[in-house]
Amino acid sequence: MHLDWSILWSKIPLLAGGAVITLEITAISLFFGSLLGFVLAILRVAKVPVLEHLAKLYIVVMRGTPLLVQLFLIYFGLPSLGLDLGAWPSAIIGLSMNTGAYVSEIMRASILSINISQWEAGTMDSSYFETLVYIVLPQALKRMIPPLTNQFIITLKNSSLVSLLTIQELFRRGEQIIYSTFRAFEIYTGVAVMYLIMTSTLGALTEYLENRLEV
Amino acid sequence: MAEVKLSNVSKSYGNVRAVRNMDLTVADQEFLVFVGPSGCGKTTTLRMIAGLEEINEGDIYIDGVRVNDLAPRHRNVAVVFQNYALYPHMTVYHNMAYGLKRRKFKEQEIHRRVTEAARILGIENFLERHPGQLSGGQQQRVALGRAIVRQPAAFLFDEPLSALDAKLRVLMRAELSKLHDQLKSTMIYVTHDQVEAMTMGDRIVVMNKGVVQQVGTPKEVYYAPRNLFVAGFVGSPPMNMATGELRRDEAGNVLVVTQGLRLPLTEGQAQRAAPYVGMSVKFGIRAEDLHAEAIAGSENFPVVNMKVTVVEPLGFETHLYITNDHEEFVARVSPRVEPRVGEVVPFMFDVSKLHFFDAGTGDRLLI
Repeated sequence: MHLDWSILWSKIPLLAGGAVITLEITAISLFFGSLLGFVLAILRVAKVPVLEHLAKLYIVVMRGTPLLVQLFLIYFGLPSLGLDLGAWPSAIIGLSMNTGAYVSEIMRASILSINISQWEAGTMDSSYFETLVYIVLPQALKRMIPPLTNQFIITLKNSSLVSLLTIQELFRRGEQIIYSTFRAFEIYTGVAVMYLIMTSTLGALTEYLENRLEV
Repeated sequence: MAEVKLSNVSKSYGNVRAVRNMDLTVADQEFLVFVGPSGCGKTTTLRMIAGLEEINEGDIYIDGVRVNDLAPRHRNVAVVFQNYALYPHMTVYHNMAYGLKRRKFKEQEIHRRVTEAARILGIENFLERHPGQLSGGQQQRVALGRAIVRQPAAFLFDEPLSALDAKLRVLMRAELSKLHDQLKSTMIYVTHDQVEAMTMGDRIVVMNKGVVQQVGTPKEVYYAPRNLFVAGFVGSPPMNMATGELRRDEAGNVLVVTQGLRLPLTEGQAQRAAPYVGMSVKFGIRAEDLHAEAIAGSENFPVVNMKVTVVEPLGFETHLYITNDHEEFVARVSPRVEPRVGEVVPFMFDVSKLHFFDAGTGDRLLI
């Protein structure tokens, strides 16, 4: 059995197109996931009545069930309730909701890691939310970067699951090429390398950002 | 500048009563020091004034306004925290400007106040630096500056010097006193260091287990401690304590008698002690009132031979641990006195300086 890498080379443009879609879905999901995570984290840190507990419940559910089940519930399940969102919205909503749960815990932990005296000094001069925005968050932000990078990389890799929602992202393109060429090893290797390039670039970017930030 | 008044203030954490029924008025422009061992409630009291701790019972007034339900930022007080709590992501300038900015002061006024405070504190050259680039002493000044620019009704200090090394602490102590004279503000200062309390306070509040033990000038607290706790807490080395009985001898003199001591009281003391004769009392004498060398009037002091067990030369004075096999005392003597360990030395007891306390309640007896 010998390997034929030339097939991989010829399919690179097709795979790269899939990688772009992977990046699009990931970027949009990270944006909304981070936004959601931030809101959930603040609800819990600020101990907003009722909502604080709902946020916690949300996190328990989203962390406690597989992403694949969540995606299928949205894409295949909701239409039974008359809500057919389509592949892309389902993918982005599923990935965002899932990422948001993890991001909120990362943000909450970073905010809570800031010394209580920073809060106290701040509240001598400003309201709770001013203290949060001007004193605590800037310091917490830097501490969030390494664990957030981790989570962003996980979300990028998890986006391969939306291939099952018929989205033509990197993994699905690879699968389709294999159906016609039967060169599973070469193509999967190519797919893996492309994921690796994307994740390591993301890692390098955030590392650069972390070093740039003072404090 | 303002008067701060606490009226029957109490604070509990669950079953633990941290502060009990405190009544206290801090006068305008006064430098008041809370002192006591850890857990005595002094910091809790300060935090209640600041608004960082809820008040369970009673009322606090700042400048005549009841502040119980006011947020910290509306109380017009500034806190200097034990760990400074500087904002590490802001420059020194912005650390100091923050409170004014949030209160919507004009940029020009902020600049004027910050540079003025920096000048007073000698940190003009550090305004563009971040706190992480400063030494502990410089950080301390920034923390002070942050309070000064606010021109608050009262400054609240929470053990601000405890993180500094000994030398710097002495320096900052003097600077804080100077600052108080300069700013003429009400200052409330918490410390466990009695030297800070004695040297800085116009008045001292000695606390223990959430209860105010004594409020008075440093001299009052030192020379007339109101109870055994204050007597033992204030002063270093601590006051020598013994238990004895007040007796009247055949000649009519009143003496305080222990297993190893018979100390005749002065005439004045004897008169005041009359109602207590026959009672068991606690009594104390400060280390500096045990003399190894003659002083004016010491010819009238009773002399007791005591064996030296430890010699602690401090340079400017020497502490001698001495015993008569029943009581152990510390004497503070001149460095000229150089006994060997084990040597028996005659000590003159200045009995006029004896402090008497009720053996049961620990309260000071007016003898």
